[in-house]
Amino acid sequence: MAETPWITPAAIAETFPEGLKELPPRAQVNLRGSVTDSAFTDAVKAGTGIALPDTPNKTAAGTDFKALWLSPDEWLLVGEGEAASLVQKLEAALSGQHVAVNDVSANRTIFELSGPHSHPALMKSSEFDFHPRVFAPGDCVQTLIAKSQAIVEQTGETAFHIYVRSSFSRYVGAWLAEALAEYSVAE
Amino acid sequence: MLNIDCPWCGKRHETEFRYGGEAHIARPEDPAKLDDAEWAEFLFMRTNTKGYFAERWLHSHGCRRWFNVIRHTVTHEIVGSYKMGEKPPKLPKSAGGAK
Amino acid sequence: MTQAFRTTSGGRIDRKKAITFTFNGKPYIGYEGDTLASALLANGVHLLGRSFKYHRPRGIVAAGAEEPNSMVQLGEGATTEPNIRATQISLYDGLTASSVNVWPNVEFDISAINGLFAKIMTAGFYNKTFMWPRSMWMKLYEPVIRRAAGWGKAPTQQDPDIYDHMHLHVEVMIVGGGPAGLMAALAAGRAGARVLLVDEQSEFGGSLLSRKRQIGAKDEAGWIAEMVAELEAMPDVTLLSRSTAFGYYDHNYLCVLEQKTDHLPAAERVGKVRQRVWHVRAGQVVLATGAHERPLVFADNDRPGIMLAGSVQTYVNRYGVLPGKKMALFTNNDAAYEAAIDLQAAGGDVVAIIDCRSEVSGELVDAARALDIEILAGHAITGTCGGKRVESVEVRAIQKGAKVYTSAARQIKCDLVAMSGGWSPVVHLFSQSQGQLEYDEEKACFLPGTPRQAQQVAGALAGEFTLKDCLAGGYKAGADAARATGFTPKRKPAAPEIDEPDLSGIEPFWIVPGSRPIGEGMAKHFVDLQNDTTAADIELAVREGFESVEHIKRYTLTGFGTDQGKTSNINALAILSGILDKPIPKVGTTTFRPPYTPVSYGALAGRNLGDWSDPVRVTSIHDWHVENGALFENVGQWKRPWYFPKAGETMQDALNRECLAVRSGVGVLDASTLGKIDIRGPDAAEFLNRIYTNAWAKLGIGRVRYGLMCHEDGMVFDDGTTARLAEDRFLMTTTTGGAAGVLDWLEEYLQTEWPELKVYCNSVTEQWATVSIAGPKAGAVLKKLAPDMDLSQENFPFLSFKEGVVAGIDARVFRISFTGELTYEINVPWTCGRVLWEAVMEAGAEFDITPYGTESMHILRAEKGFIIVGQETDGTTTPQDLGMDWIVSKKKPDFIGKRSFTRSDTARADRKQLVGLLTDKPDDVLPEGAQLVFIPHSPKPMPMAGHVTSSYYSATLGRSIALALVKGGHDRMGQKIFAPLEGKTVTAEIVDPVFYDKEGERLNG
Repeated sequence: MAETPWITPAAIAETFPEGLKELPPRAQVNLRGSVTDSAFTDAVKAGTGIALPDTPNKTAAGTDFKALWLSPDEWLLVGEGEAASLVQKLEAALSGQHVAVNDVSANRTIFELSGPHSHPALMKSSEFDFHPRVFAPGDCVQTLIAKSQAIVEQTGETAFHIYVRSSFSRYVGAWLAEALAEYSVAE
Repeated sequence: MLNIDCPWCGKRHETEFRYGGEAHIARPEDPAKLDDAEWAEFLFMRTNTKGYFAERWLHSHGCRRWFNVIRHTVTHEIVGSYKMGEKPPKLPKSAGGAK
Repeated sequence: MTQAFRTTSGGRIDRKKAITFTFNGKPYIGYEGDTLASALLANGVHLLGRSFKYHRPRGIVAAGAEEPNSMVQLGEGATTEPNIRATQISLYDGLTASSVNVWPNVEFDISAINGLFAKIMTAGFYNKTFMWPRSMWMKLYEPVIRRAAGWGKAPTQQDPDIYDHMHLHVEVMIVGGGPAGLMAALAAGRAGARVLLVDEQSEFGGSLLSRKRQIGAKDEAGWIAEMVAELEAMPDVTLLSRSTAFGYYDHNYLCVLEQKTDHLPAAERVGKVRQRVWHVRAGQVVLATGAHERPLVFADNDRPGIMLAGSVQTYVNRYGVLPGKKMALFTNNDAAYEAAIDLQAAGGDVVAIIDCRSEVSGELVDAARALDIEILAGHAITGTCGGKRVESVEVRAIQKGAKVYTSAARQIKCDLVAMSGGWSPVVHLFSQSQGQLEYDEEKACFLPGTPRQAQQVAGALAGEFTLKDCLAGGYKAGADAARATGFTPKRKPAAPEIDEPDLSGIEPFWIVPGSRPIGEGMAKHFVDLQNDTTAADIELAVREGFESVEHIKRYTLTGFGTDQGKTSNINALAILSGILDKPIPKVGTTTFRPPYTPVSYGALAGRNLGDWSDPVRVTSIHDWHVENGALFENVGQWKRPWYFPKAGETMQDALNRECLAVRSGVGVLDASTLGKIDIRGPDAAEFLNRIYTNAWAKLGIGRVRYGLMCHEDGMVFDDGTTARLAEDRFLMTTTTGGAAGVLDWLEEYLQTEWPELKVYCNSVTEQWATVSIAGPKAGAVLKKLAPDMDLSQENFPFLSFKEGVVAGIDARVFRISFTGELTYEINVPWTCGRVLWEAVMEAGAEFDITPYGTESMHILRAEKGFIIVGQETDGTTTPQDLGMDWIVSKKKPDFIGKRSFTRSDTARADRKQLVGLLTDKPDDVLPEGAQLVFIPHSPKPMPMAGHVTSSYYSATLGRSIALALVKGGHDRMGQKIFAPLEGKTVTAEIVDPVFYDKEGERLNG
């Protein structure tokens, strides 16, 4: 059993095994609106290049940001650009419409899980079926990682981004590190 | 462990959901018009069905949508789920163990 | 150290790999591939332990999970495990094990004297005997009985091993890797389905590991190898051996215990996961769990050396062990003859086959005769002799229908008795899945009836007792399962030529009378070997009025214990059916419950223990708190600083210092944990009007209001402040623990009751870190950090907010107060929390700014009479009970909870109402939760008047204060109330709950 990382000030990232890292902060903007309203979707498309996915649990890429489907009227826009300017741009483009735009860049932190053990590490952590037959690059899902709510986005054959609420980041980071631990033990 | 069919996200494990009790109990339009007995009927009385039962679930760790499920309270068979405002699916003829 | 009972060749053991192990302190040698049981038998060790109640010598009965007797204490120290079946322990180098339930040792056991008192230790013995005097139960009877009747010892140290869980989704899961299961896996795998095949044994093959069979061109070993090789080559087929499906739950959810390192020597286990519980969701489940052989119930059928016939065959063929050299076989079917034939072929001697059927014929009977084995048809064993090992059996001709047999007895010398009462399909998982069982008269066993879940059954479980039927049935089940999950099965392979004996029928023979009526004399007819339940116990239970099989089970203990009656259940209920003169199906079976075999707590917990037993949530300022010596309090899943003691300070010292700092200077609190919800849309104000008890429509932009939420029943469930950011946008705060529940509840109303309202709710709890600075000097600190912000009373009054730059960070500053002092709550993006905190500490240094924790916050708010939801409320408290009528709108026609305020119960005058308490002695601090009474020292039970909800020592006031819910409290101001405590009664006066600054003058600093 590891030390209690949430009360140990040492950067737990240093203890992360290969295949796990916490990404530097990304711009994240939560967008609400009606996907059946073309005024809304057109304005988003014009502003970001993103055709908002209306198929559950899919992602769509735009010019600087991509959109993750979160619910029938909710998307998370993620990118390396600036959140504040995206919020401004969207607010302007959607002015007068019933929408909600929130900068949530600090609300969640993002872990990258990659490599040959990423699937088994997810199988240890989630009841969701991440098998390649069911889940593929471009898919995203909101589920539980251990006992924390999370968004999991598949970014490559064996690469995943795991978004967790910032207050859960140590719990989830330590959990994932532990999930990978057995693979560094020689058979 | 139930496998619950979210109308948007598909089948997920029970742990992603929150239970919401009996479905189709609408909040009265004007509660002030109800006498105490009628208000108590809305507030407290539920059917406690043995058999197929319409109940509400929230996909709390997923898309945060509330929806309805028809579940057999003895066998836990789930006939189907449907969005708020939609009609429930048809019930199977046999009561599947509800004796 | 010679293996005197090892055959010269054969078996699935590796004779080149000798393994050293220790049992009861003595060293032995076995081979790789052995179980502890087979290795002990190879060394001639039969006596493994003592029985539960009578401490009779007991040995190995079976070869697998059904073993009732041979439980051992495995290993030593922190990793020791009690009550593991020797038949399921794979032998490894350095293994140590010892007998359980023996003292001082298995050879000489003092409690065996219990056998002499057997007459009084019948069914219900414990229930009847130790009833009086009552007081003796805890002090004397229970400890003594536990010592005498316990099995192994639980480890006393923390388990150092690693356990984890894995979640797997497949279209087809197959339980049981025998011939039927392998064929099912092949069919489903070839069809393209994702397949999981699990088997509890160390290798696949099931019954074929124990029997010699030619399957087409291959022998049994070749056939198994070929099947496993093909399955292993399929990428989406998962094969798990040493893996027991122990629980079958709703919607085809199964739990499997994989024992990953239990077969390895200690050195090879380091750092590895010892056991893994697989949580499997399957589209279809194929149960191919096989069958367990039933013992026969005859006089003294429990001596070491009396074993199941099929298990004898397993030891001979699979492990190359002769469990005895002179065997008597007692059977009611001819399948068991194979054990005799195989033992003889391996060099043993079969002294007689005692068959209770009057007419015997068939291929196997002829084969036995050809080996010159004496067959006594129409005979039964009516007694056995031997101490620590069976030495002879008493055989008599059966007298049909007789209660005692008076025919001439013949003694036959032997060192092994093999018995077979037929086979019981392993229906446990099927039954756990809610499937109903049906009794099959011809096969004399319960078979699965109609399944309740998406499921197939195959092999011996389905009553397919020949290999030919198993292969065909297994393939069909696998193909059907694949088809049902959307795959197209490949053409069925041609059935191979199989060389197996034809079997004639079984003749049920549930209990064998002896020379005296059952229950008389010293002889015992054991039904449940693990619980020492005899046929006489069942008879007695019926005589005493128990008839339901579930009651009999509990009264006689049949079917309890670690084996859950795998060998005894059917015999017990058949005997019961005989006594009650009811057909077996009418008697019914007891319920099979998980787990199928015991599972350690470590495995069930997996990694969800210690640091991971529940998520720990921390704020972005957490490390500062740790570095500065904070002690923490759990609030929901959050770690919040409780207080910040300085060197040498008691907790009370620290609290006094923190509270006085806020009242006289400035304090700082990490309030990041409060829930925050962004509420937006043209109907947002209307929505708030409906869900809060007070009015929101006219709240100005930039202003903040406190609100209370009730459920429809009128009871308070959360509170907090909400700010109007724009005409159509609000930021709501909730309690720390209530955040998720409030959001769910808001969504519930928006989605189910008022879908016409245009409102979006978003949780932004961790977008914002919140630093709250409170006290008369708070403004001075903020001024230093935000020189451009106008903090004047006119431009930044109480209950308003401003956006601006604080310490160089874009921030929202709220003027609200939970302490009664001038307070600024500064919100900055979560990631900037610590930067802001340190800037505040630096700017506040000249004012001696004092970080304070939740405990001081609680004291400060209690001085002001502010409630904490969940402390002053408990789900039965209305706003009126709290004296907060001022926040309940009289004008709004409707809001959630309103209608319930006029219910007769909520309008009662004698409801528990929130009051303040001042103890007569200012230093008496009442315990929180203390019950209160109006009349002290009245006879018990005293009429209760209420309870203390909050209680503290207030440094500000120099005395204790308390909040309490008291019946009719609002009309009792000035009255005395009493808290009867251990050893004393504390008297207090009922007062207004606002103890400090009633006029609210301090809010503006």
